[in-house]
Amino acid sequence: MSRSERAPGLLALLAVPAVVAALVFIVASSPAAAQAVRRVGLMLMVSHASQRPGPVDPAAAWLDRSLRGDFRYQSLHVLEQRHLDLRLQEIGGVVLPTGKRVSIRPLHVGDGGLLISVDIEGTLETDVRIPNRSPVVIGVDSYDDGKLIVTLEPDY
Amino acid sequence: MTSCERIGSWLDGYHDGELGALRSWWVTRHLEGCEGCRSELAAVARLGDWMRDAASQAPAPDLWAGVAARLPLPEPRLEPVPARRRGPRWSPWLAAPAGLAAAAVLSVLFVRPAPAPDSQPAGVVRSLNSHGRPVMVLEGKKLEAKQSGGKPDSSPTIIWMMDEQHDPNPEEVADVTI
Repeated sequence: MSRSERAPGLLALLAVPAVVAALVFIVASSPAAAQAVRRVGLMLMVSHASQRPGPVDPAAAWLDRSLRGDFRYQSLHVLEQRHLDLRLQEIGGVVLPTGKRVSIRPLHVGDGGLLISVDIEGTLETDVRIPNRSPVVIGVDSYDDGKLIVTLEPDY
Repeated sequence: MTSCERIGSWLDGYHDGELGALRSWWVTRHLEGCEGCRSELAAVARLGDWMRDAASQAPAPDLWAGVAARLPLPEPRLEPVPARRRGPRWSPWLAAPAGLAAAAVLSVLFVRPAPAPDSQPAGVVRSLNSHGRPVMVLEGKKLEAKQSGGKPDSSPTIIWMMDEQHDPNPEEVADVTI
């Protein structure tokens, strides 16, 4: 076999791994792959606004400012506050004092913020796109002479 | 007071964006099903447009000349002018710019600019299933000034699940008691 006949075979042998490597690189660096491995932080707070006279929890002072103009209550307490660190599509959450589970699933990060699926057992299913560090407030159920309030705030 | 009368008393504030979030939500909800109040709101909007147009039209340059020509001539002064004047004497060359400056200040104080278009992008809430329970959604808005106390630059979006017995009637309720 002459040298000129062997050359194309050698080239093909080298080209196949190179193409495979290039494809792996392209797929791994694609936005979808970057999204899949991305982790996002979420501040989750459960508060209780009540008709009983009392203080406003300092941790919920900003929430009080947001609600005070439109809703009437006497006191506001933070019942639970936690920072979730979730991968996209991973489910995290908290159980409310009523026993209902709040499930949070980040779906996508984009220019408009973080798209989150929120499922409050038997009560509410919603998808919200929240800009980073902008909270969403969800008034859920009546509880103990007041209302349970869940707030979510992306922090990534 | 009927529902339309109550809503009608809020339409001016609704048009000017001066209502609280909850009242604004009630008005929006009422307008969806009330042709009469929608017409009323359109009339309020037309009136506002007309006022803005009127305020923005500059007077004709020869307006003063026309007015001055119609003014009666000053009568001859019979009494002598006192010799001493306490204040500085205003030259007519200073009075004209001073008048223009005063007019500019007054126009800044009393002419309201047209509201800026809402810069909020597409809504926060993309889908919602409340299993038949009434739910109020108040989309957050960017605030002009940063609030003190740390938290957000913008007012939050509020999703409020109403209790059936608490679904307020706008004829009776201005705010929701939690």
